[in-house]
Amino acid sequence: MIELQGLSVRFGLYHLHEVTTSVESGEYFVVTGPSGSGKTVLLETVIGLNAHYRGRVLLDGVNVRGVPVEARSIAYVPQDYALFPHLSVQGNLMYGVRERRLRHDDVAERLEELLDLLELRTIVTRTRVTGLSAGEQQRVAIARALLSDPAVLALDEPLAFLDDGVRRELMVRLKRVNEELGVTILHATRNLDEALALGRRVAVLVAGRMHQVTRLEGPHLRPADATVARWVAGRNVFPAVVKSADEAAGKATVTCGEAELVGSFHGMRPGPETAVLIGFRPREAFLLPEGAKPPAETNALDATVESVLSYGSTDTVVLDVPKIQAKVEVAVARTTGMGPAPTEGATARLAVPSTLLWILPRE
Amino acid sequence: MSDRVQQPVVRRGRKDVFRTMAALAAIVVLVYIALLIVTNTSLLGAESFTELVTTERTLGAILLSFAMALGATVIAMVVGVPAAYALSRLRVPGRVVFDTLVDVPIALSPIALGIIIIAMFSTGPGKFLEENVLAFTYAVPGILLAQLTVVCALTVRLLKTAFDDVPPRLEAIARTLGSTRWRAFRRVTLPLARRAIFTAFVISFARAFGEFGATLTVAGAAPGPRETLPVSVFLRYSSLEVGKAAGLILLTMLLAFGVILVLRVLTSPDLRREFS
Repeated sequence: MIELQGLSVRFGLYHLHEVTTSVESGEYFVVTGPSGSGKTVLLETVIGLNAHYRGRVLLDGVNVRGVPVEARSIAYVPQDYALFPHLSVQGNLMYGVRERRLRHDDVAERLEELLDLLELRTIVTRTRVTGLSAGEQQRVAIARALLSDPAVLALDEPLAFLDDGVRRELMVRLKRVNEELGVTILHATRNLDEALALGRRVAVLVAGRMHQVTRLEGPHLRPADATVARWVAGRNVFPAVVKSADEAAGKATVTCGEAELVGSFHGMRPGPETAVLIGFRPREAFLLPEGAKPPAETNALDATVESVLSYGSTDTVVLDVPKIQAKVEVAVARTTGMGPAPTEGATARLAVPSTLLWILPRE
Repeated sequence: MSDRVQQPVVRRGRKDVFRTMAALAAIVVLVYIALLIVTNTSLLGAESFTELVTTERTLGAILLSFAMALGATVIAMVVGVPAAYALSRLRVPGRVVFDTLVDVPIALSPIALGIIIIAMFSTGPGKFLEENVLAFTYAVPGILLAQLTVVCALTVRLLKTAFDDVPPRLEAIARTLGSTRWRAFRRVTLPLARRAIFTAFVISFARAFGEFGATLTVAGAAPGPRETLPVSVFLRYSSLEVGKAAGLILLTMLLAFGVILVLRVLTSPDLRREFS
């Protein structure tokens, strides 16, 4: 178990401010947040690579200030993989086995498992690691870390430089490593979807502050405050005023511009006339087909398409919504047989489910 | 379409003269070294080179030069490797001052260093050491000390550069995999710096082997047991035996070329492959 108590780090531009949280043994814990928010500093402080911090880091209840890196059982896959360039693939894989004096017999089974799990069989005989692709290096780094038999695996953007297909596969494998090998995983990523797909609990770090730690119930993250909402929703955060609230259901009707919208709130008591913020993730809203009625519990707004970017299987559509006098972004998943993407200047109907329209206190 | 004139995809080729200039510079350097060798050869006297080289005096000088240079280099490396590593990994304010301090002896003339060594052994604990334990001034140990003093700073500088080129990050990663600081140094830093460490060894040895000024100041210049090859060259030249001096210079060149080449081939895996 990892506990952080009032952890503060000042490190040039990086600044970690009074982080307090804990990670259970065997948990898959993801720290997410924008680039430069202090995720790497947080990870490296827990690992022991950064001795200059205030506050306490406890591993299994023991304050580890001054405890050397090698005495903590935390293997690390840094963003740059940091494979040893003078060793072969095999040499890299077995580095920790040798240094931790593990018995080769005990490791053999796990090695076989990992060679299959991470598809390393074709490259395990390479004498140099310098010729490996980014994805291969990353897989070697993960296997190297796991072979040293750590209690905790710390991963810093482990999927950032991988092809989409490889990324999805590796995500499935990381989940299996966590579930089948029982290794606690501490994973840092700036990709919220990655965090939502993998984490059992997700912590959001913005500008050095831990804004929320949330146990995930589904594939959605409900921002705890406006800062997180701005990171998650981008431009889709607007001021609004509460008209009426149903506290039992956690739902409220708000006025935003000339529009009346129904959203959900959590951890606040929005009385009438309370000034609030509303927001939603671009990919949690959608466009209604022409002439279709909005589903139940869904807000619908007339809009004009301002721009469309089709990237991969997603159309990112910026809409001008006159009723709320604002531009709104929607990310629409493109599926086969869906018809053409919306065209610029066309009219459209924006739909936001009321459960996914957050009502948050103003800063 | 805009009115902007499109650039052609293939731009008009300009002759790239940089490569030629670089090659020319290399040729100039090599030709100059060849010129030095040829000039020296033209100075060779009537007496046979083999005869000069096989005299007891010359053989003694060769042996002494090798022994002293090797000794000084080995000591410089043994002290230099940990010292340079510490300097390379030092994270204290003002470390640039320490770093620059190391360079000072490199800028001093060897004679100046020799003078300081002599002064060191003429007073205080130095004097006690000199009189009761081991004589350095005008003695063989003085040669070793003189060469060591001249070479040490250079060795540390070269070694520090070697360690600077190994990312501390790799050591940190090694430690997350269970290595102690020493093991991380031994298994990651040292192998990665190996080639630069051998280069430091070769250059330090060459510098020690050719050392003259400090040796002269500390151990004196007289024919006999304290006569290294460079001192020998100086003595022959002073006694107007230019031909013999030239012969010894040629000998030094041959030895240096041979030794450095062998060391280089032995210490570089790529070259070893090329030669085998």
